[in-house]
Amino acid sequence: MKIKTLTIKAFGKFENKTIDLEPGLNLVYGSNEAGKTTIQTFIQGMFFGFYKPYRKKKTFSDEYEKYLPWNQFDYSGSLVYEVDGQEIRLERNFLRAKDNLFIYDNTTGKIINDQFKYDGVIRQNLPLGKLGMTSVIYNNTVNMRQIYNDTESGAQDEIRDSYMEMQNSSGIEINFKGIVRRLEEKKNTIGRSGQSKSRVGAAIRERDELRTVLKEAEEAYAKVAENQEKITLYQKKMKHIEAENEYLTQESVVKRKKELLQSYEKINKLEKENNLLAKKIKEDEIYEGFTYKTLEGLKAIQNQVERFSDQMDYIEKEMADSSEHLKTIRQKEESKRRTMAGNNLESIAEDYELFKKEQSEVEEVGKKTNIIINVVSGTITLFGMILVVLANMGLLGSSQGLENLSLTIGVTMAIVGIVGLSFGISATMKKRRVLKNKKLIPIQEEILSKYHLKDAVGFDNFYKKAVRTQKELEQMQNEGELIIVQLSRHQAGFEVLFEQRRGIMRDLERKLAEYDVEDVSEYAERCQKGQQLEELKIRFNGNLRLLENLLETVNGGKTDGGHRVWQKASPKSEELLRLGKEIARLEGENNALTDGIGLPVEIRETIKSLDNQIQACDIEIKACDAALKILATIQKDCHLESAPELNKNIGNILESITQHYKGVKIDESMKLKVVDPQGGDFKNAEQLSAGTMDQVHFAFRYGIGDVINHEMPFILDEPFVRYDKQRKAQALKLLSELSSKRQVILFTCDDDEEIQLKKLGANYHKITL
Amino acid sequence: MLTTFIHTGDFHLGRPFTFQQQGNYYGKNKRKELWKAFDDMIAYAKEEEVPLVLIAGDLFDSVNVLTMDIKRAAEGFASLEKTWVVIITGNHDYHGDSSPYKKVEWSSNVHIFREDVFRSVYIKELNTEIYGMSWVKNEYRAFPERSFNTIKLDDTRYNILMAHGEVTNQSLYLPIDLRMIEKKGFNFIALGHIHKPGITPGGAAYCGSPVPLNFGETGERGFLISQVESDYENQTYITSSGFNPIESRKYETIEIQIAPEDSYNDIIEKAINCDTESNRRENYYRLRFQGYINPEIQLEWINDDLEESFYYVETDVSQLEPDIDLDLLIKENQNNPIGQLLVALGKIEEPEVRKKAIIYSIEAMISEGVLK
Repeated sequence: MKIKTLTIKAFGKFENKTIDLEPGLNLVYGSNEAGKTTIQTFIQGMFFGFYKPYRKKKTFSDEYEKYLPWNQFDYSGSLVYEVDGQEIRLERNFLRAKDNLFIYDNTTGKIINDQFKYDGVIRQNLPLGKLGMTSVIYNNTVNMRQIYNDTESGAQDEIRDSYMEMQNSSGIEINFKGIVRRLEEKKNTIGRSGQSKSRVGAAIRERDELRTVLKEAEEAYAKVAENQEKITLYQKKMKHIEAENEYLTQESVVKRKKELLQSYEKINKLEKENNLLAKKIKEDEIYEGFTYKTLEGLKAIQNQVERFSDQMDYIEKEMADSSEHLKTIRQKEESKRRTMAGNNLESIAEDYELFKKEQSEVEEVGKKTNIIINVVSGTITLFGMILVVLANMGLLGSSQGLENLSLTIGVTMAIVGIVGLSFGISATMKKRRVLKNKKLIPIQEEILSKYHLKDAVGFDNFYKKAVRTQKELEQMQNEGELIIVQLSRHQAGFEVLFEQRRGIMRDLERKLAEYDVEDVSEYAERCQKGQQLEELKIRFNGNLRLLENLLETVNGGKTDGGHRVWQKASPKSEELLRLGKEIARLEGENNALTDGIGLPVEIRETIKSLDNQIQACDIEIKACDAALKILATIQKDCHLESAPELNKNIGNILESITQHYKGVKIDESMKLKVVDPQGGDFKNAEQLSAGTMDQVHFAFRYGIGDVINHEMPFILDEPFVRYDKQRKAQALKLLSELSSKRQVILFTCDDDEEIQLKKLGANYHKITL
Repeated sequence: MLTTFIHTGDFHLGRPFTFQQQGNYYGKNKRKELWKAFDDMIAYAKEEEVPLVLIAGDLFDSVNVLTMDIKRAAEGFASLEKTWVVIITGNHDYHGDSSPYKKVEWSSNVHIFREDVFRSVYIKELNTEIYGMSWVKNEYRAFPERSFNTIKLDDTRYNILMAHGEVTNQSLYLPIDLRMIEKKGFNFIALGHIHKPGITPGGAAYCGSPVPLNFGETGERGFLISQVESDYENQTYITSSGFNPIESRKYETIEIQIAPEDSYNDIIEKAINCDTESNRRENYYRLRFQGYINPEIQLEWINDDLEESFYYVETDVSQLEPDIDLDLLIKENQNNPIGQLLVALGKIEEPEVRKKAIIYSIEAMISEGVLK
């Protein structure tokens, strides 16, 4: 590529200036402040504009301000160059807000912007985009600006930049150590948590301390809140008690209280009693249903049974008496019969008839009367008995009174009958004894002997006696028969009574079984208890009603124990005092708890602020760490690749200029080293002279040209200021050689360059500013 | 007969605040402002003899609020001799085991709803019935519809509904179906929870927080004051509500555009010029820098330089990009370690860390002359 024409419309101090350049070596000559650097910058500006590289937004670089013309209305120019046989004209306006670039085909005059790469940030096409040339590369390679900084390290920086560019272009490496060092410095200004001196360290320490303090404060205030809740509660209680006490000390209330207490005592008593009653009632419930009416009935039945039993006993006794009587009669009969010595009265009577035909002194003694008495008496007795039986049977049917009456009459009649009967019997007996004393006189010897008698008187007596005996016997016979009749009657009566009694007793037993009692007396006992139970019940219910009334008076019936009445009723000065003391104690405790303790809410806020700071620092630290980590990984993967060929090339250039130093090297920490021909050791660049440094720089730039781009012109601004004549001649010779391949534009203020070139016989095109 | 009433809430008394620096100092001042707003409201009610004050939840910021704060609030209400105060609790001060409302005694003019179903309190002298539901736990995914449906309004009374929740379909904070509650025929619906005040045409109102609580809460703040008139013709009431503003420090978020050519001093100047001095000395500022900044300028310590010009200032640089075309850099260094480094840096996951790592690395590379 060759630059042909520079047309400066307005740039720096220039206005409407045109400079034509030739292929080959162009020597641009100008005294100090003639504008050499301006021209050089103009070329750069025409190609790239003045924008900061790698920005996302268009940002003007420092040069923009520097070369802004004084009038500030126009800031533009054009540049014609030829590349690959095509002549291109660039027309650029540098002015902010109006900045633009038009690219023309200088032959056709057509705008050919669209044939070039477009940059979205600066919104312009890039004329050198195809060549991969950026302003950074341009400045680090083909455009060799004047080294203003004449310190050695400044020169070294320049060299290093060039070297970097060279390495970048050849894919070598960057200064890891330097970057790492800078990042670590950065990180140290942020500070780490372990270093308490640093900002973040202090923040972390403070925060951690505050966290402890916060915990304490929170505990203290939680306790305070708890106490406060108690205090509030106690205060409420006190108010309540005070109000109550006030009420209780009123006269009417005191009186009422007294009443209440009395009522309460009554209630207590009644409750106690009723508890006992209830217990007893429950126990005695089994006696329910035993009535006196039933008892009366049972008793009547039992009485009847007893009456029957009495009667039966009586009859039994009668029967025993009759049997005894009968037995006596039979014995008497026997002894009478013995007096007749085995003869019966008929034979004796026959004999006696014979003996005493004439003697017929027989006297009949009336006995009818006695018999009549006996018959009447017997009848009365029987009738009485019947009446008794009837009376007993009547129990079931007729009225009580009638029954009792007939019973009495019956019994009386029976007794009268029996008395009459006995009287009759005893009268008869008396008559017979009178008859025995009478004496008869029969005469007949035979008869007398037969009966072993001496005389008729004897016989008469005997006979009389026999008759009497016979009569007595007959009487006894009758009497015996009567007794037998009586006995059988008794027997029958007894049986009737027995049957009746059995029936009644069965009935009684059945009834007793029904009530589950052994006998009437047990029923009677139960009846009594049942009566008592009823009484208990009545009492219990009475108490209950009384209680209800009392409770109603005491507290509207809403009591659940009399104790409340009592408690409510007494003023509680002790409780008040106790609560007051407790409140005072709690308040004291609260004061002690919060004394010197910060509010948790404020501590929390301080912690939050610290957290914010720490977090911000944390991000910064993390960022540094992340970058450092990545750098370490990349560094590991990427070994310093020496570029022997390039180094050799540069070394040769350096040698041809200096005629002394042969090789150069940039070490890992980007320190420039030069091979000392004496001993072949590497020599630190710091040890080199400023001139030599410039020469090393030149060698780099010269050497890079091959690597970067053969096409681009090599532009140098006062490169040989610190060269000695010999070395300058060598360098110019190299440039002259290079100019056959590349356009070279050399700015200088020294005539010497031209003299040297002339000496070398080199072709050059001189432009004077 | 009810003539006028105040609807407020969301005071968040005793709230801890988040400030990027000196949190305790600004927090304390902020809490003072909360109390000032509360006291202002009480003073207004007293002076104007407002017969009814509604507190629609979150009077306190938490259940752990200091007892002295609770006492102070209770005393404030107790001083309102001619005013009924009706309170519901919200998600912040819900009735739990350590409910703030249990810790002190409230005066007899204060009615606190204590259940999470709708109950009502009828104030005879005002002929006003207030229905309310309090929070008793810290989350409600559903509105207590069943309880709400059992409400039968007495049309002769002025009926107010109080609830603390969000007008939305789905929420952990008591979702409220506005149409449903409006249909019921309440004369006024006093809502709490949303800190931005607003009134719907259906008569539902959010009172908003009387003091803004963070940078998200902008606009006018205060409490609602409603006037009630009887419409005898239609046998109903007419309620007209207005906003009574309370003065307090505002939260201002200001976006500041930064250009790559801005120097550090330019940026400081832009930041300070964001508002008048009197405003700067009064309000809370969050300066959000946007645009592209010269990568050589670090803003890490900028707060220190701005501090003296503001009452409170914090800066947000998350939307500020260093003026570096990373893609271009990577592209131009595809085959060398710079490219490798930049690609690797670009893969850092945390965006803040990534941004800083890239800036620091480029800074280091520029310092080392690796980059221009």
